[in-house]
Amino acid sequence: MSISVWQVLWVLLMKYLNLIIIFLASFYLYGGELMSPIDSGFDIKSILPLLNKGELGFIENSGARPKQVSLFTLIDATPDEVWNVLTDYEHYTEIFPSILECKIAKQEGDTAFVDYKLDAVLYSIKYRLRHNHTPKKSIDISVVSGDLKSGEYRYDIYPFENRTVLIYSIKASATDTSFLLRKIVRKQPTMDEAINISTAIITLNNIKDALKKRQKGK
Amino acid sequence: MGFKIGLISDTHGQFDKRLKTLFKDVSHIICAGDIGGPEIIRQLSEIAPTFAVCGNTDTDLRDILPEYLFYKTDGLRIFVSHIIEKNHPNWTELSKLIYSLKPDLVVYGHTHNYVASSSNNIIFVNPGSAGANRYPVSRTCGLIEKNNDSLLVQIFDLGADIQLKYWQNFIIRNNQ
Repeated sequence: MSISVWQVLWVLLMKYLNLIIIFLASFYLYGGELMSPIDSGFDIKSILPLLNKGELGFIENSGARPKQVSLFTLIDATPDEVWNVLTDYEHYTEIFPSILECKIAKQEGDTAFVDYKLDAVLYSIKYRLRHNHTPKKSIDISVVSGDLKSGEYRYDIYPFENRTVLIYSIKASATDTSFLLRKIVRKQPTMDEAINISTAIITLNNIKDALKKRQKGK
Repeated sequence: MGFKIGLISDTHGQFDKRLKTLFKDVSHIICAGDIGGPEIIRQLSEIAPTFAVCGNTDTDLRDILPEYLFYKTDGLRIFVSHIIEKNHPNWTELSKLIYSLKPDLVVYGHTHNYVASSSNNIIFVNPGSAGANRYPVSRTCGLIEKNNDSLLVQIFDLGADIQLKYWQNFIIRNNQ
């Protein structure tokens, strides 16, 4: 019985298929979990006096790309009020103008699976995110499925007198969000950090605006 | 292993194309505010990843840039703020923050005059203004090079020819 070259190749392909899948997947997955900057030794008390004046960005270059960027802001609202906005998925379209649709697909204990439709410049994308809640303290967000290939996000809430320090961390590549951004960033990969810092500031400003509206409405 | 970081501030909308050559080996660029528009950040990002803070004239960038930046890379802790001035209303809070964060390097701008100095084991560098200047001082930018525990600060004159204007070697005291 003779064995053709194709048969040999097929056997080899099957044998190493799992390795090939892992190799390809490694392009889409970032190693390690997103950490709160506080957990990595950042002393929040030291930055409180200046958060009255503006946001503080924190970038730790671990050598990996994309880098995790975190933005600290001080909000004139209680941690409960901030938590209520962060978990009010039904009203995300009002809180974040770039979100076109948002609904909870399923809830498992403190984990919510949320479906999004996002305005991604010139066209929209759909994806599902997993939101792991540690009530009133933090939300860990990761990509489950859809048009987003990867990305990790995290909110951390810290009470400060009657106010709240909110930290938003991002570890994502803009190439995963929009065709136009992908075109720009592929041509210019060094734009990733600048885009993530800007995205974090816009997100925090959206949350602050939503809180102000709710406080006025009371 | 050593690395270089490009320092620039107060571009006020002017991008000097020769920065592409001067900053060609840098791992990052730090921009200390008064940038003059997002186009400058895009052009700097074409050279290397650029981390920028908002300056007092950057009203159109206030929604996308932080006031302050704290950046940790390869054993170097860098704090960036546009204004570091003792007579500024924020000085009390800012100085407390700086001395509690204990950065190795503070990068700032605003005055349009280059500075490289050290105080309480913290190295302060103002690369001067790389943009169209309102004051009778030359346009400058900076380059730092870290090698083990030393930090070489170089200031370059962006005149008709780019020339090294000033340099100083500092020892990093490891404030952590």
